[in-house]
Amino acid sequence: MQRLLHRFCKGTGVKRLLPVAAFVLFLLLWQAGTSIFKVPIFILPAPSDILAEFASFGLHMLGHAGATLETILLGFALSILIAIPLGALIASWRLLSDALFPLIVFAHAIPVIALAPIIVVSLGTGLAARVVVVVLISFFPILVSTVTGLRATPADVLDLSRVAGSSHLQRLRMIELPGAIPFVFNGLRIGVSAAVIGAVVGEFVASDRGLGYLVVHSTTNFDIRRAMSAVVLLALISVMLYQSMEWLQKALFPWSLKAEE
Amino acid sequence: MDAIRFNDVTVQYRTRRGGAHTALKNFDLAVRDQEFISLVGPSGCGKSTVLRAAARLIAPTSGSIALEGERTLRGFERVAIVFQRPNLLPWLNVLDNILYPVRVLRRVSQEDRARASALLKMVGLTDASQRAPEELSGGMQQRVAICRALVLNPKILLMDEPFSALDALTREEIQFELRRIHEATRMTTLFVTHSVSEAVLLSDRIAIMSSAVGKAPILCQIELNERSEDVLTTEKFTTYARRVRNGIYGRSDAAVAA
Ligand SMILES: Nc1ncnc2c1ncn2[C@@H]1O[C@H](COP(=O)(O)OP(=O)(O)O)[C@@H](O)[C@H]1O
Ligand SMILES: [Mg+2]
Repeated sequence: MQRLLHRFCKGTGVKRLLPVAAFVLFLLLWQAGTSIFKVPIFILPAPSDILAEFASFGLHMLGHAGATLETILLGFALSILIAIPLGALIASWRLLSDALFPLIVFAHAIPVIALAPIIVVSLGTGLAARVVVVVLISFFPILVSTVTGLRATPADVLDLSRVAGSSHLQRLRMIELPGAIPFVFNGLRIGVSAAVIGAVVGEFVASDRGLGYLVVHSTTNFDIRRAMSAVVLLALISVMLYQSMEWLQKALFPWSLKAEE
Repeated sequence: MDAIRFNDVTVQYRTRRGGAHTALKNFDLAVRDQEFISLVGPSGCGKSTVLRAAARLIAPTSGSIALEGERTLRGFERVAIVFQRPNLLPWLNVLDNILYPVRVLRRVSQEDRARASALLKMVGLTDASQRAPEELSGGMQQRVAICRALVLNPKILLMDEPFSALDALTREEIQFELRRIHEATRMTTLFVTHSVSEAVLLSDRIAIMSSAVGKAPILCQIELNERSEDVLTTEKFTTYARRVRNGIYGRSDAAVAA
């Protein structure tokens, strides 16, 4: 039976449809569960409730989503701009790495969520505070993966480039940086998911806009349906951003996916 | 004239516990211009160390190494190297991998491209020039690595067990190919192998190193009229192979003045 199922799945495009089917099944169970057990809407709204919410409030919600997306993208871009060059410096300059790495590890150990209210005190409740929270949370995975990737060059390849007469800078540009690409993209995928969390936390503590704000505001008013809708939208944004990292890698560096397989 | 001269070379590695490990001691060897010389010997006797010292990847603790073209030539123009693994760059296609040593030194010219293509043709990989390294078999990848080493027509070619990761058939094929290349180019080649028959087949001379650090290598001249499949079964070939083997295991009769 299992074998039959397996063969059936393998033969067609069913393999790709399977996760979709599981997701639909999950939604159906959720819908059925809430109606069978008569779960009140202020405890757990059904998918149909959330859909209805989107229909009536969707346009307004998109405005909030736009604000959140702005925070995410600004913070994430800033993280990339700091983390990758800093990673390159750390990986190629032993002294700097010895000096900075303990500090970085310590900084990484700080729970950024606990830090968020403090940041608001010093930076105010504007966009700046939220972007800083996003940077603090999405910066480390990118930095660490960049450093790891740059240091993962096989010793023989480094020796070869040395015998070929390449300078430090040439080695970085022609060997180490391209070699680090698969690692960097792993970091970017983790980083962009972290950035979504950072933006929401930022909006929890310092905002009158955005989906994070909407969640807090709606729950304060016992509008769980609206809060859930905002959460669903956040999940969609997170998935979309994660996927776009995959697409970006595939479009720009197709070889780096092949190498991973 | 000598292409490489090792003068009383001693190499010590630092061990992790802060001590020093002597890998090579008072090593003397003169590699003649245009010759193909193999280093054989038990694992850990310092073959790779000799090669890496010649490549200037490690500095000798004492003694000196003189290289032909030291003053005038750079990078792979002077010394090119091939390792056990092909070490191709996965983000470059085959042709660009071959051109890598050129790109380190200067802009790639039309002649460079033509030479890279000619090398690919020589190893029978013309059709692969635009392909990604991952798409090639191990033997094909190693052929590309050899092309990369030859692209700047180096004075000296260093090879550290370049064929030991290949299957037997591919290995035999590529051995004959390398000997043909050598006869065509007469590029000075310092070749490390742990295969006695490979060393005899390819070399003009063999240096047998001992596991006793500091013991001078035994040199053995190989004179074969032809280097094709037929030679493998000749008595001359088997005699040479036995002699080299005896040398490795420390039995007498290995040294034939060379
Ligand atoms: N980087 C290193 N650090 C410490 N010891 C080393 C290092 N490389 C090689 N050795 C030691 O030096 C000796 C010679 O090594 P090597 O030249 O690689 O031998 P071979 O190539 O003949 O097998 C061995 O005993 C090996 O353990
Ligand atoms: Mg070795």
